Amino acid sequence: VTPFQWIFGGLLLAALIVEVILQLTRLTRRRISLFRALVWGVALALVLSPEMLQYVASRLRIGRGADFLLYSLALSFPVGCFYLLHAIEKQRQQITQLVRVLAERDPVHRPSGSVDDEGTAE
Amino acid sequence: MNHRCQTDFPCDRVWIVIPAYNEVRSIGRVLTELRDVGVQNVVVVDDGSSDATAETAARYDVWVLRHIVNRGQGAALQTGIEFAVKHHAGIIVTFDADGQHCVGDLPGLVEPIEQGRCEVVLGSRFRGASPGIPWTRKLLLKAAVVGTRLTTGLSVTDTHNGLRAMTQAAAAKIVLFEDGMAHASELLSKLSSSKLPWCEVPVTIRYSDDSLAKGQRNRAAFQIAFRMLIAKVVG
Repeated sequence: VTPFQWIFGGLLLAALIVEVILQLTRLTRRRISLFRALVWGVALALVLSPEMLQYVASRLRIGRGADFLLYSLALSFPVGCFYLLHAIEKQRQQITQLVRVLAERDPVHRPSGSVDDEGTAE
Repeated sequence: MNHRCQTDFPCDRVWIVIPAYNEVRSIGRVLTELRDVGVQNVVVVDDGSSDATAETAARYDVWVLRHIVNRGQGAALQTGIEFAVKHHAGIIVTFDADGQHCVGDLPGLVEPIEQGRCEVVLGSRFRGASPGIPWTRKLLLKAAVVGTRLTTGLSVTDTHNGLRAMTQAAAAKIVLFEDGMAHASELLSKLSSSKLPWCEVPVTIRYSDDSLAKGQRNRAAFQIAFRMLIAKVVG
């Protein structure tokens, strides 16, 4: 085991343990927590056993494990961006809807001619 | 707001929606002008102004709705339109708070709807007049017209003109989701897909130093294009 594997393997293992604790104490949403745990688990496996990635890459005829990682990132980046953009847009619309409901709840209207005919409000 | 209603203008059926953001200097004059032509129903949507726009508007016989935070002109317009629809408005007119629009254009704007010729009427400064328009603004608007024609198929002569009229049914069909200035492009896009009958009428847009200082910057055109792209991508 190399020093790199000790350091990053330890960090990833800690993250995985935290995730499991959060899952057991139900302090986090189940699906998101499971997804994060999966990411930490796969990363831990790949740090401890890099030849696994190499094996997958060669099976897919990509060549190097690093290339496989690069292609995976190239694919996941736009997906992640799209997901974030969609979430931001949804949140923006929800905020506007909330502001609108509050505005409509408390309209101001003074029907009697509050301003004289010469328009002296200014 | 019931004063000298002109006989050829349906004062009781028309609802004027005015989005306003920090317009304390001009909102009073605009509301006075509207009152003088006899418009009865006006909704001012104060879009989270930091000045006394809402308080000034509330001194007139108008409805004032207040956004607690600034959400943009499109959001304010949609708030006002929804309010007017809920109050059974016959015809909804959108009108700017900065004094650029002329109340004298209102009868001509609602006339095609009254005659049953169309459901949405768009004001066009290039069919009418736009004294004092900077050449850069004119160039950008012309480019926007070309872009709108290409993307929507509508043969408009002006885009991003805030002076429009629509029936209640049209307003219920064209729901704006764009909070900012891109709402004008969104409206045309939805007008195109809704197949609602529409027409353009000549209007006058008055440019002043105040309105130019407060109005859209030319770079807003790029932001609008970006927003429309985002809207297409994420729906």
